[in-house]
Parts: sequence; C-alpha cells; structure tokens
Amino acid sequence: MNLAFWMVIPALVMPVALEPLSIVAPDTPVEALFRQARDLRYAQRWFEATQAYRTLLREFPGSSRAADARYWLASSLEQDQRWDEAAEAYTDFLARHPDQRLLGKEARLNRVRCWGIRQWDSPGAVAGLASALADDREEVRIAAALQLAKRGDIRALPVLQAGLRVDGSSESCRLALLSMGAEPKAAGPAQGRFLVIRVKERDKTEALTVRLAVSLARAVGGYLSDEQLVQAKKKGVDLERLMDQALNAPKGTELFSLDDGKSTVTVTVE
Amino acid sequence: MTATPDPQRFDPSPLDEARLFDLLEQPETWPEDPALQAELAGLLELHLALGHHGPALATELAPAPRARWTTSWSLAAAAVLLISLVPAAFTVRRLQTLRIQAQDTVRLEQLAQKRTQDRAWIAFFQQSTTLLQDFEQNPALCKKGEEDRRQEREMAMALLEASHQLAAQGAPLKEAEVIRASLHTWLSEVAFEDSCLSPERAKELRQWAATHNLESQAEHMERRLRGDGA
Repeated sequence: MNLAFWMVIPALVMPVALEPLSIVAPDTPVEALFRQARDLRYAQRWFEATQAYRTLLREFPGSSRAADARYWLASSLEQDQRWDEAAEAYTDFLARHPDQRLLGKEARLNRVRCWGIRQWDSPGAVAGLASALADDREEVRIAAALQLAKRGDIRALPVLQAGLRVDGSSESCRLALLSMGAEPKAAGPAQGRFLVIRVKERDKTEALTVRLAVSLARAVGGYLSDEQLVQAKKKGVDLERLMDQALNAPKGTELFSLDDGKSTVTVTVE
Repeated sequence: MTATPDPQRFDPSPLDEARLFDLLEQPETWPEDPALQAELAGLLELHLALGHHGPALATELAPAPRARWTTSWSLAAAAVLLISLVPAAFTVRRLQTLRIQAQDTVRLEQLAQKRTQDRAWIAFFQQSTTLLQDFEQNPALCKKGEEDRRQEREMAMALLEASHQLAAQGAPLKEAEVIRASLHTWLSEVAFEDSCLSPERAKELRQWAATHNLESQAEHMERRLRGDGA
C-alpha cells in the first residue's frame, strides 16, 4: 500500500457533510475505505462513491470486500444513471464472482434494467437482453422479456407466455403480451376452461364480455372497482383462489356478481 | 258592282282542312296551270297513300303508353333493392354496434390494466411503509445482543423481487419510479445483510431511511396512486 492512498482517504472522507452513520471505528484500511464509499453512497454522492469503490478495488484487489465493492460500484453507477458503465460493471462483477448467489441474482436483474433503459439507443443493450432470455434464472429471463416487450421485440413472446405460469410474474407477462398485441395463452390444468366476465355499465344498453383463460384468473381483479373489491371481500369471494374455484365448479356456474352502482360485474365459468 | 266568285276557280282564301282535301280529290276543279296541276297531283298521290296506310301508321306512330311502376320489371327491381338494401342496412347498424362494443371493450381492458398496474404499485409502497415501520420497532434479539431481523429481511427480499417487476413494467408516474428506486436501494441493503444485525448497523439503516424520508415518501405515493390527493 502506498503513501498516496493513505492521503486519499481523508480527502474522500472529508466531503461527506452528513452525520457519520457509522459508530464503530473501522479497524482496517479496507474497511475504512469500504465504509467511506458506503457513506458517500448513502449521501447519494454517486460519482464520489464510484471513485472510492474503484480505489478500494485498485488498492486491495484481493480483499474480502472486493465482491461487495464491485457490486456496489455497479449499483452506484446505475444510481448515477451511467447505464452502459453500470451494465459493464455488473458483467464484471458476475464474471469475477460467480459464486455470489444473492448479489449475483440482483446483479443480473439490475443489469437487465440498465440494458432495458438503453435498448433504444444501444445495439449492445439489445444483444444483452436477448442473451438474458436464455439465462438459467427464470426471473432474469422474464425481466429481460418484459424489457424487450417494451420495444415490441417478438423474441420476448415465448418467455412471456411461459411467465404466465409464474405466480409473481403472471400479471406482468399478461400485460406485456397484451401490449404487444399477443394473446396470453396459459397452459396447464385450466386449459379449455374460461372465465367469462360480463360487465354491464349503467349507461350502456349491452353488457361487455371478456373471456379469460382460467389460469389467468388473477386478472379478474382488474375488472373490479375498489368498491366491488370491498364487496367481494364482504361476500367472502377469494380472488386469490378464483382459479381453484373455477376448476372445481361445473361449467355455467356463476362465481359472483358485484354491483357498485355504476356497473355490475358477473363472472361465470365456461 | 261586286264580282261574283267563279266556282271553277280556286279560291285562295283560307279554307278549312276538310274543304281543301275535297278540292284536292276533285282534279276537274284544279286550275288550268300545268305546273299547279302537277304539284296538286303529287299532293293527291301522297294524300291517297296516307289514306290507305293511315290506320297502320297511326297505330305504329302512336306514343307508347307510359310505363307504370307496377309493371313487372319495376317490381323485380324493387324486390332486388329490398333484398340487398335491407340486410345491408342491418349489417351497417350491426357493424356500428360491434364497433362501439369493441371500443368499449378496449376501454374496459385498458382500465383493467391500469387498475392492475396501479394496485401493484400501491401494494409495493404500502408494504414498504409497513417494513420501514417494523424496522423502527425493537425486535427480538439474537445472540450477542444483535437484532433479529429475519422477518424484515425476508420481506425485503420479497419486495426486491416486486420492485424488479414494477421497474420492468413501467411506472404510472415518474415520481413513483424515483421513490421505487430509493426504496430498492434500501431494500437491497436490508436483504443483503445477515438476519442478525448489529445494533449499529440496524441504526445505520434506520438513519438512512429517515434521512431520505423513505417512509413518508412511500406513504405519500401510495395515497397519490389511490387518488386520495397529493
């Protein structure tokens, strides 16, 4: 470690005007620098934070803080809206620390976001998103597909259709498919069964009808107003379990009908 | 003295049409002038010819009776019009109805999508607020006096996933995205920590959340998206 580095630390520390967040004094130079970079980050001084992390990585490349420093360097670049640099920094982190499970997943997702923002201007970002469609993590594939869907890239379609089966992503995927003009096609036990949503608005002579695959039952809530949701709760209608109910009910069964004074929404199984 | 008209002479005074034809049919009364006689002979020939073929010509030259709408071709045309126009009118009306219904359905779908999106964001801000409030509470302790933040950490990880989904979907308001990004960073810090936090580290995280007003910002955005005013 050279003398110049020790002279840098006070220069990095001093500009932080906020009350120091740390109470315990750092016990090593690496910890001191890592903590300083974090304080800069907490103060949203992204550019200085990235400098601090780069200094740490340059001076202590083999330290136990290297993985964290690389991750937070990329994160600070992202916060500073330096999307291309951030994506590269995440890629560097992933290449050097493939064993980082939690940070690795987060890095992949964040990198997808950076690429997503840059996809209209950078062919590299589009290529990155396309490669992420084959990621071994489903959530990364879906995140990449959702980003590509914003540009109407049809390569996203298979992943979005597959994402309909994932609880946490089904609604995002459904909305993305609809925005691309594609019909959500949910497979599985609900295939062949539909929920028919009839919405009769007061000022209209005819009811509007929407058909949803039963496996997309989660989307029914969107057709209900806040007041109808309250009514559903009072009547014991469990929208989270609508798919199960629809699978077990004979065709033609009316699952519920809710009226908020402006419209009546009736859901049947067909 | 008044001159007596000569009955042999052609009287040029105006005569009625029948009298003229009588004179024409009596060549003995014609004037002596050969030129006039030749001319009158031609006229007589024409007159006799017309008299012979007249009835036939009269029939043929008579104007055709005016066609009435009740004649067969009119009825056929009217029937064709009825057959083609009436269904066409119904089709046009049906198409108009279908077009209006399609527009209403699109509006309904858009409203449903907007509600779904807004509710996902509202839930995120609401749960983040709850997590920030929980983080202010004194938890159970791990060994060595560390704070047991296992539940908060699990919640932070779940919210991180939701945050990624929301970021990928797009925000209903630009401000919502800014607040999501701030919350995301804080959630990352909590999620990447151990379940047992040193009191100092827990204090750092609380202080950071307070410095950036994360809780009030999340509450504010939740209310705004609910339409409860700014």
